[in-house]
Amino acid sequence: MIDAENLTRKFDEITAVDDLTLHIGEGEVFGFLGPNGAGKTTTVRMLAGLISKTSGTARIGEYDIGNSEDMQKIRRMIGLLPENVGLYEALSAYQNLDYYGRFYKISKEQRQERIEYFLKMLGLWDQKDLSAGKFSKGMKQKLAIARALIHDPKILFLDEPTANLDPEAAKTVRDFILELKRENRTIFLNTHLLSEAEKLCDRVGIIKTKLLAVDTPENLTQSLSGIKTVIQLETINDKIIMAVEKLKPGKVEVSNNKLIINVADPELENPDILKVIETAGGRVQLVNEVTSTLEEVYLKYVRGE
Amino acid sequence: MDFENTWNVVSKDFAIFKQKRSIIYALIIMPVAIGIAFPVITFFIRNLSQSSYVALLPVFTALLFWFIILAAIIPVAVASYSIVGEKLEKTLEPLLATPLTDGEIILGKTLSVFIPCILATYLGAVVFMIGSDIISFQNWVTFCILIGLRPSIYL
Ligand SMILES: Nc1ncnc2c1ncn2[C@@H]1O[C@H](COP(=O)(O)OP(=O)(O)OP(=O)(O)O)[C@@H](O)[C@H]1O
Ligand SMILES: [Mg+2]
Repeated sequence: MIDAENLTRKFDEITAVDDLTLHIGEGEVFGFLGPNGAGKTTTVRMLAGLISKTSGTARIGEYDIGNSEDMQKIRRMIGLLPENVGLYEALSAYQNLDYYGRFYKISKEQRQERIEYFLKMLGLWDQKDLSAGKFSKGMKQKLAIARALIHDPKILFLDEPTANLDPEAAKTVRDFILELKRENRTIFLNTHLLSEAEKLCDRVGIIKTKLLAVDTPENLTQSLSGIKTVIQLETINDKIIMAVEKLKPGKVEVSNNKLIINVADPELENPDILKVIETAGGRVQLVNEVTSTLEEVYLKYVRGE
Repeated sequence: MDFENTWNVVSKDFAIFKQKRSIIYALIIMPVAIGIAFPVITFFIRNLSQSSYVALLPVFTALLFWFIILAAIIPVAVASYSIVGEKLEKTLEPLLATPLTDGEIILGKTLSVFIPCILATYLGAVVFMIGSDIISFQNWVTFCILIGLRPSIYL
């Protein structure tokens, strides 16, 4: 649905996005992670046709972002939540949505119906006649999300949708994104919240001018250090450690009364490990599995380790 | 170029103007106040100096200059909301992401400044002429300048 090949954007000497090649399928929620100034917003602005690319190509559906006639078709397919919400502060919440509906030539009845649906869904219906300038940051953010959806786009670009939101409002928005995903929309999500990316995204990409990694959150976390089994014992002695090491799993670490064992296939190896521990006289209190967190993966990539 | 799209941009701007008091002042109160104040001033000058109507002609010509200034001020006030406002409130980005073409947006913006300014200047001119009529100074030269030339300042 979104296919970028060697997409590059330079601002004078600064290269904001370098040689980005990325393919996002229909109905996929793609999370874009990266430090400040990594080029996330620049990528979205290029794909939404707000700024031109320096080189490379990108297609949205079957249309080419470099072609101005195609761009016109792309604009009908995409919804954009920009980094700065950009609402008309003098106009009411309702008017803001209504004018955008008109820009997409949506009929009056449909506009009314959709505006009511979105404002009620996002809890803004009671404030529909209040001017957007009087809204709190979070309310503005929600209104801008409704605006991005007013023409029922197949593809959504959300630049930090939960920035500025209180935890409950952030959850409302996240649940809303999951709902949009169920409706089989393709969503390109810029975020700094790794937990959010983990919860929402089918795949995540880590960018720092260049794209450093793209994969599912599970694969990324497992690829970093594999899976570890943590076994908490009443007491640990050398006999137990030696018995475990004899099985030749991955690295074995000991901390306090915990054994931390790297395993390639937990379902196959764990029973044997537990068995030898019992035979060696160890009393198992707790068995746990840990993988690296997305945060560790993220830090590893952006620090260039 | 789709005129419906252009008109949507214009009507959106008009809805914003309606909410901004300073634009209402610039568009209505300023021309009307000038249109009323000048005939009154002329009236007092004539009374004080006991001069003939013909002697007042240069005074009118001098006062008309203020309409040119008005014609320069009003578009600045309106354009500062219509165009600078979009930039300040960062509303240009979502606007450009809609199917509106650049041409439609530019034409819409031009019209949303042009239309109210023309109307406001005509309004001031009409008030001025009626005001002058009250002090019985019928003069078709003024009429021609007001109707014929003033709007061309915008072009
Ligand atoms: N209009 C512009 N003119 C010049 N440089 C720009 C412009 N927009 C962005 N840049 C530069 O491009 C780089 C990438 O910026 P971008 O806004 O895409 O980062 P980002 O990943 O969205 O960061 P953040 O997480 O802070 O939103 C930065 O170095 C920035 O200075
Ligand atoms: Mg950004």
